[in-house]
Amino acid sequence: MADHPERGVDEPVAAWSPAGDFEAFWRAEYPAIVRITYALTGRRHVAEELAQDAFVAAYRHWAEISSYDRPGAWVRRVATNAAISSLRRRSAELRAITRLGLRRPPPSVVEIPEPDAQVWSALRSLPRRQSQVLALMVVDDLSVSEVAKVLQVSEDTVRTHARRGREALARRLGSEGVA
Amino acid sequence: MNLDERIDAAGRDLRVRLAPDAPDFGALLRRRHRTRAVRRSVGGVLAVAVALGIVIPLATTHARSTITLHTAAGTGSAEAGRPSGNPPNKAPAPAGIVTVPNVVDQNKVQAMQTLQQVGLDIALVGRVDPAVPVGVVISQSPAPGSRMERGSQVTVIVSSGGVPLDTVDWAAVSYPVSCGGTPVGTVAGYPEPMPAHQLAVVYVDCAHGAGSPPSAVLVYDYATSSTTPHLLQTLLTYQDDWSPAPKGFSATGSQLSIHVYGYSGSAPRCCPNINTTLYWSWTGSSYRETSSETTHATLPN
Repeated sequence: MADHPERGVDEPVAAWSPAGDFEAFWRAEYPAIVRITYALTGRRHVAEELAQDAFVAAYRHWAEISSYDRPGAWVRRVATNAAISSLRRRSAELRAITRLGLRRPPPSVVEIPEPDAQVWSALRSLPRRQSQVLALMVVDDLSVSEVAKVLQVSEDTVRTHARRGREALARRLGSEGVA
Repeated sequence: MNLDERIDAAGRDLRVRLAPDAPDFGALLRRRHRTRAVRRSVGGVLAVAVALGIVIPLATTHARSTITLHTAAGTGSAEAGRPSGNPPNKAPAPAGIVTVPNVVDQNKVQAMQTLQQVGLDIALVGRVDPAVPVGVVISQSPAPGSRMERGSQVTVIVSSGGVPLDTVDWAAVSYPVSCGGTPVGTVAGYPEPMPAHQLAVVYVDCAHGAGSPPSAVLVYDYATSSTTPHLLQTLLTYQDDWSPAPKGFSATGSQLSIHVYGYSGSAPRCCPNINTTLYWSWTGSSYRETSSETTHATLPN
């Protein structure tokens, strides 16, 4: 996990490198952040709105954040925290809807059925920290030490949440007869 | 495959499947800025319209179909968007070109004065805009810095208020009120928005049984965040021994009033025996209680 086998040429090396310019950071990290917020919210437009919020915040504090070892960790923390909060989820939804020029979501807009919908909805039903930890590990493929840096907790804490989260996830999926 | 593998496979699959291109960040930021500006009461209807994808006809064409007011000394001969040939003041204007000053965010009286000073005429157009305080200029045409012949007319769009743009989920706000049950907030009313403030007066109840009176009346500012409105101040708490009348809130201009029932020293808790209206005025950053007016009082039996 630690070696990021899937972080290829176009994937975020820049995020984990110090400083760098914002535009490159944005382009490199945006897809990964959307995936995390998507796994945690289950709504594509909300996920993008939340990811964009996190980057706008990063941009505003870029002078400071760019000097961090890992600006990518900062933006992941902001995005996962925002995604967890149901309140913010709601407001991002509102903004997304406003942007789409709609007053309320039309009944015809249905999220495309996910092949792994059960996995993600089970993930969202976990306690806050467990779902954050698992989203970062499973979706973003981060190592225990990277997740610890993102969430600013100890590696032991990450391991505990990951273990409990996986157990709970397996139980939920198992009880639904999915294997 | 076991469940652990299935979870990891779902993650790998998502990484392949969901890889949205980052939109243009500059455009995104401008859009955000506009949205924010609406909430901060400066952007106005243009931004709302842009956000909603509506094209508004610009002021010059708009002015003809709307009431056009001239200043008191105006000649009355000017058509919107066309030079009137005469300045608004009595003295005939020396011919010449002037630079259009910026009047956005001024109130309409200031805007009239500002434009008169450089010898320009004004056409006021009202527009409902919940995000801009009543009487404040939302936009102008031509834009500040344009060159115009002295005596020409500048069309100024002024907010005529409207229903507040409230996207706050007041039921979900966590209220700093400790009580037997869960505090539940309901908006009693929206005072006139003040510069940089979008205000809501919220009655907070303790949800523990019927008929419990509001335990606090709070003023929230949601100009900067619709998710976590900022608690600006507490107008009343239950400890104040006032019980706000359910529909006793009203706001006029910069003044608030709440009709309350109160208790004189010996009145039992059941039965408020004083009927009072409390007043607050806006001081620039919060409300200050100004006076109270006991409209009716009965002596305890």
